[in-house]
Amino acid sequence: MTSLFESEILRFRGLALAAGLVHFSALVMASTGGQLFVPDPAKIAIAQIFYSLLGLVLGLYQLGTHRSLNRWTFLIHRPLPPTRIFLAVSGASCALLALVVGLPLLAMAFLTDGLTSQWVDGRHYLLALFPVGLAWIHYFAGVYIVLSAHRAAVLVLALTSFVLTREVVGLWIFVPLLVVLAWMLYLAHSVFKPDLTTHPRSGWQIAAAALPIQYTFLVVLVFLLNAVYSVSVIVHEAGWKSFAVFSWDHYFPAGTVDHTVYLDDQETLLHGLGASETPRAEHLRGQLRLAETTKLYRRFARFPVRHQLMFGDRRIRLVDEEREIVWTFSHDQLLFHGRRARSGEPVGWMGPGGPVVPDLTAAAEIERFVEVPHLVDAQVIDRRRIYVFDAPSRQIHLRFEAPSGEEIVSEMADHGFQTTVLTSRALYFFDRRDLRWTTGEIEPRARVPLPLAIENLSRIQLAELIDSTVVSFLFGARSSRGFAEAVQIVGELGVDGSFEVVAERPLEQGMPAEYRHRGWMLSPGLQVLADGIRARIAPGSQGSVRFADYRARRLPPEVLRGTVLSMLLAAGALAWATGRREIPRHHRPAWILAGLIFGWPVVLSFFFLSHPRSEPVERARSAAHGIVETPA
Amino acid sequence: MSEPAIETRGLSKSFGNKPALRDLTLQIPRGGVHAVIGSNGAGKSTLFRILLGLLGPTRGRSRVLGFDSQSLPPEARGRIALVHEEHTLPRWMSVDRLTRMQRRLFPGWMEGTYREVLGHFNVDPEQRVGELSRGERAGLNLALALAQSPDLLILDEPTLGLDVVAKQAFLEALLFTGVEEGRTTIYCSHQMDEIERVAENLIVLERGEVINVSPPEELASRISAWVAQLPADAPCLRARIPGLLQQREIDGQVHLVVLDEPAGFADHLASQGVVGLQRLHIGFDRAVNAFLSRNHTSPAQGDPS
Repeated sequence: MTSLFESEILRFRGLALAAGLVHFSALVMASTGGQLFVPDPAKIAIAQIFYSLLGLVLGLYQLGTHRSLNRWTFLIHRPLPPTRIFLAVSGASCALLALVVGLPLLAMAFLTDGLTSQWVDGRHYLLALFPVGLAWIHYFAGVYIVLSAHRAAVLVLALTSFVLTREVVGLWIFVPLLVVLAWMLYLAHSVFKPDLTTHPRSGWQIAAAALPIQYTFLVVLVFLLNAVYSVSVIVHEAGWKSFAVFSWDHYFPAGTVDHTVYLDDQETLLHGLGASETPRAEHLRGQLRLAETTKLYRRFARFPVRHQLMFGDRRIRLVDEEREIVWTFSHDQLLFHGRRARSGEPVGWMGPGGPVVPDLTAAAEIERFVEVPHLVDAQVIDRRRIYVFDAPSRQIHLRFEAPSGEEIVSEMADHGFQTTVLTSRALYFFDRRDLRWTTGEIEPRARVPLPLAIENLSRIQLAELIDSTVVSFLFGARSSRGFAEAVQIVGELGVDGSFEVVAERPLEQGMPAEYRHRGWMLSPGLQVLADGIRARIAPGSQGSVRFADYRARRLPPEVLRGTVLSMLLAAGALAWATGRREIPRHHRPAWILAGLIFGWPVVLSFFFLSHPRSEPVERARSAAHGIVETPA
Repeated sequence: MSEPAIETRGLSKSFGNKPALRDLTLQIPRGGVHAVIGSNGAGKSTLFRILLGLLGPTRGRSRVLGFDSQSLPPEARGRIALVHEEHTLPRWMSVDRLTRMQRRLFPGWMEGTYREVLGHFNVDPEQRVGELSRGERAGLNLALALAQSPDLLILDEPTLGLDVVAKQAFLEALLFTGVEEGRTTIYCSHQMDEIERVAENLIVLERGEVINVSPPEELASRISAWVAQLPADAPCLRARIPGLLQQREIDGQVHLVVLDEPAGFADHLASQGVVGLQRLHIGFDRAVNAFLSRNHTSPAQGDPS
């Protein structure tokens, strides 16, 4: 086994050395153009793609060359169990990937820490581990793809999307990384067997291969149905000739949540107030036609987590352009570390409220942030506080602190003469002049409680009138899939800070229920599973759905009927297909049951994971052929 | 009684609707050199792949050295050596390093045999495998295979693409180096001169079936060649001559190759209008080739059928 390991190391040592040097050179170049460990999202995406491709290409090439019949025979036909051969071959590649990917990153972290004034947190050393894991995952995916007997093997890459695209926070990022790595390792091992023409036969191996394929099919089917719906609506409404110029602006009837999407702010407010026939509503409608209107959204679904790796990082720097100082937030110290942009000379450490201190010994005395904040322009925002960075005084002042139990979900934003802050429970209004005259904490002039849950909030529209402010809350972000109702609530905020609801209108859905619930009707099981995983990996993210939400949901009867019919048809299709393909007899009920729960993606995956039944082979003709007798 | 080296029972394999092996039942006893021949597509490679567990059969069973070929344990694999036509070895390794790797893998490694075989090919141990000529690579491959002291040695077209000198060296090394009692060698080739030289037993496959198992000379002795004058208006002979394998017209004469010529063969032909019939000497290679190609002769080659 060790000799085989050495053989593979020898095989790729030259390439690995070259790749490692190129990687290190690229990192050095990247560090000269900015802070290497504070990359922007585009650079992070490029790096992720690079590390993933490196692993994928190695897996495809290494086992792709071994896969040809004679090479495969040389590799597998030896007095070693296939598992040990697999471990030797893949172990060599993983070791090389660790050196090519991890070593240069680790070296750069040490060099940056020791030789430059840039601040390197402990989490940046862990950065070396994550890309190595990413490369390993894709290496095993490559091995699986190239050795697998079914053409849909490439769809296992859907699994890696849970690591690549989800904004996992903190060290928890290693959990999905390790799960997906273990999954890929298992899949790659399952196809590393002497006979490469057969599909895995154990139930676990089939399930491990089937789930990513089914998930991809679900995504593809949902997308296709989306396209079919859109095209059919356009063709029905405008015909093929006007296909390219069709506008959705006036397609959905008034009173639907989809209609509001195409309304501007003023129209939204007018439609909302139109639901009430009170004189006050009529009066406000009249004033609205001359008023300036604005809107605001929930800005933060989640907050950064201390020690999180780069994925999920957004801005963590405050830039004082006039004095050419860059302040970088340190997860380790929960303080900003300043350095001069040109010389790199350290300026010191800065916490909330206090003065800048020159070094960490002195920093022990100053107040620190309680958690990692979001940065929006000069605002430093954590869950309960909004600070503002004052560059000339090199100070960060507290501006607003939300009451206990509330989480800030948007920055301070100006709307005419007012400034607002949205929290998870209320919309706060401030007098904009207060912000101008003081650098300290300011009191809100009004607090308007959110009428419904923040998770369902689509947007808020505001209009400043002569003696009041009209506020419209549009809820329905979670209504499309039935997890909440869609409703618009319009109220009036008086100068005294009182808020009174003037109009309320429930909104219908503009799209057919069968279309909105297409994912559910195709595969309720996979939909719940995928939502559950997303909610677990990235809790609180936009569109995140928990299991509890499913329990509270009320589905329209036509969707329920359609889902039952769809699942029965999928199970029926599998009952028919399993009788005509080469599968062990005892797998048949499992496939049919899976079809009943996971629906049509299972039907599609079944055809990729099973062989057609072979025709009975003709009996030997030697006796009749009889040119030469065959001795018994 | 020891188990046969190879045993198949009702072995069938189809690729889609195309059968490659049909209900193949075969027993190859331990010891000796057994040639497996057949035209392209006869099922030889499919059979070897099934025997090595690299392919599953559609029906039937196969056993190699007493083990089910579909679940060969590592120790059984260590007792089966394979030399195939491409002599695929790790090109990036030096001969010496490759040898050390193989030596560590096989507990019964025979250094003497290895050196003796390699001596036929003048291979530099420091050279990388990728730099070796095809002949040298074939020699190295054979040396590595024989040094494992295998109970079963499978050679699949091992001399394909080798020049005369390399082929000679290969065969000498195979025949005269450390032949052990009990080692079974399966030799697959299209080179009938090699088969004649090395094989004690001849297994002929055709369209996935075994159509002959016998010593090579026994098959050859059943095939005879004739030359005769044939009138221009003579009818097709194939239907009228039992066992006719081949009929060719050369310079106005008809050459016939016949399997198991019946008694009174000359009289029978004379009654068909054939005159001047003479028996010809036929070599092993031509006899077997005629036998293999009897169902594949094209009209262009002179077969009126």
